[in-house]
Amino acid sequence: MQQILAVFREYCGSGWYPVLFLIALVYLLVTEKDRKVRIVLAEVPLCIVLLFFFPPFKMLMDFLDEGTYYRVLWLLPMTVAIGYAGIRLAGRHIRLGFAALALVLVLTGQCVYTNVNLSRAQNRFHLPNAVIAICNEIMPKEGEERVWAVFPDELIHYVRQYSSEIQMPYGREMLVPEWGWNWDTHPIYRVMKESPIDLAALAPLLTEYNCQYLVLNRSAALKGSPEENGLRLVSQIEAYDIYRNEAVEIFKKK
Amino acid sequence: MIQKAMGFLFLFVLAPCGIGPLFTVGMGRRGYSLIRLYLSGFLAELAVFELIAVPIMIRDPFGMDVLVAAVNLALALLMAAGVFTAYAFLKKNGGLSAVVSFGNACAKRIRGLTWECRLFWLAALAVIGFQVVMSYVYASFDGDDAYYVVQSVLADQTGVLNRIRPYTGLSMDLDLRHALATLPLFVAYAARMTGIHAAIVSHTLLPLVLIPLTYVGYFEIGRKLFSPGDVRLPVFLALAGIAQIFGNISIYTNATFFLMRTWQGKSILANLVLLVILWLLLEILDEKNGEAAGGFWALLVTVNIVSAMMTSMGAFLSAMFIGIAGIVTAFRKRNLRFLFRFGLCCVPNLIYLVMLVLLA
Repeated sequence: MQQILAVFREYCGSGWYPVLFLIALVYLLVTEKDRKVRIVLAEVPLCIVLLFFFPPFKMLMDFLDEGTYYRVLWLLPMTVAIGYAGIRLAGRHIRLGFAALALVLVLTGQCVYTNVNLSRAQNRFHLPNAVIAICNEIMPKEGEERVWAVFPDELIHYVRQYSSEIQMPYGREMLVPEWGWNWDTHPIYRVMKESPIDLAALAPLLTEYNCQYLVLNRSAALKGSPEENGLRLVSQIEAYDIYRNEAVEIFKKK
Repeated sequence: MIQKAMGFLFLFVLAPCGIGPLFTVGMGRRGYSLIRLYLSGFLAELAVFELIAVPIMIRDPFGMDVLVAAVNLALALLMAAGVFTAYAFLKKNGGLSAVVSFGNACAKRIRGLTWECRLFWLAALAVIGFQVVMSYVYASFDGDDAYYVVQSVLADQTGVLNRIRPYTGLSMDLDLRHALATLPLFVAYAARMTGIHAAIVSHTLLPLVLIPLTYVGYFEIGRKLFSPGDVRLPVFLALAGIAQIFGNISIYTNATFFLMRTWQGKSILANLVLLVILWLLLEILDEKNGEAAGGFWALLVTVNIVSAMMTSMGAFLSAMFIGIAGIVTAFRKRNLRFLFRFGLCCVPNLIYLVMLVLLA
């Protein structure tokens, strides 16, 4: 039960919408006379709420798909029930009711556009311009095989959303430790996440994994000289230096 | 540019509008709605894609070209059937004059709106329009895109269906648990048809379609809750819009998914699909509808297939929702007819879940 309450608390987060919904649910259960509306907006959601707080149901859901129990709450028609109950409560005072309800929704909620994960789009891909420019720079030319490249953490999510022609020895799985991948200690990533990055240790690994390119954030501290380790600076794009690992050729398509 | 326009026109205008009559004709007088026609047709397009994509994906790792051809053929046939159905229906019900009188009735209804009602409609449309514009102007970061959007990019650029590890580019076995939800392949299909990069289709194009379409779901629910022309309908829509903007109370809510991960299957399930199911339950349980509701039942089956297309647990969640509605209705009406019919509508969910358990 503690786990269920924790899921519910996490779902509620910083807002009061679930509480508003429960109030709306009680109001509709008490006052709604239209049978179809009563069944769909009050009685079915009530059953879902009861089921959600029923521990054996949580065990069943965990068996089917662990970690997604909060999705049961998606079945609750919160917005519809709050809006409908509020409008019914307002009765004939619809303008006043609208203003009051809108105010309640604004004050008890959290604006999505203040979310830290939202930023002004730099292009229609909705990917950072730097990623697109870097990918265009190292993209294989006509008749060449796909290339392998190592990127800093902040670019890893985006690279392959732009091009399938650029492959990476490791990807997002390295950035989510709780996934517990048994190969989450990729030798290259182990060197890349150190500060300073030891180029003498990194360069042989790049060659071993057939990586033609290395992309580094210019602010990253380096140990050793790129040139002495066979890494030639080919381009600088925004905050990133792009190095070509001369030890690995770019293969031609057969 | 011509390919982009033609592809977009086919996928997001002609196919939904052409297929829609197959459902709306079966809805009786309640089917006289262009919005309802579009919504039905769009959902049918997705369902058809799921039904074709799953077997092709399982049998042919390099099946993207076959998939595109098969889906185009199926959509073209369904469009032809839909247009023929609409033609036969119109012929039987007064031909062109019926269309004209329908148009006149709509215009009369709009002219008959009070100023207060018009203002609230403007407010509702402004709230919805604001969200559409923001979805274009702002980009949201979500780690899952490194899987789903990349699957779309891979299918479009390499023609390989779910056999390449998205994070790295190495080969992998078919991951059926994720792959049975074929929305990323639909994005790849849209990318092929329009010639637009799959990341742009996901992040920019789909929200322009999905956000208004989700509000069509709210609109349909509003029409069941309030009488036509009632000022409370636009008020309800405007409030729904505000609740979405301020619904970011945690990362788990429908609203957060709706505006921050609009293009992902989970978001479409949590918003569009479940809203449509809610609306269909209101329609089906409306006693005034009587036996004329065949189109609604057909759409319920369709939307169940769409729920499976969105996320691996989608089929379970939608079946659970409909199942609970069936049990409550059986209890309240003291009649097992609805429970039995709801159960039949969930047969696609059952087949999908059996596949998921046996194959994944």
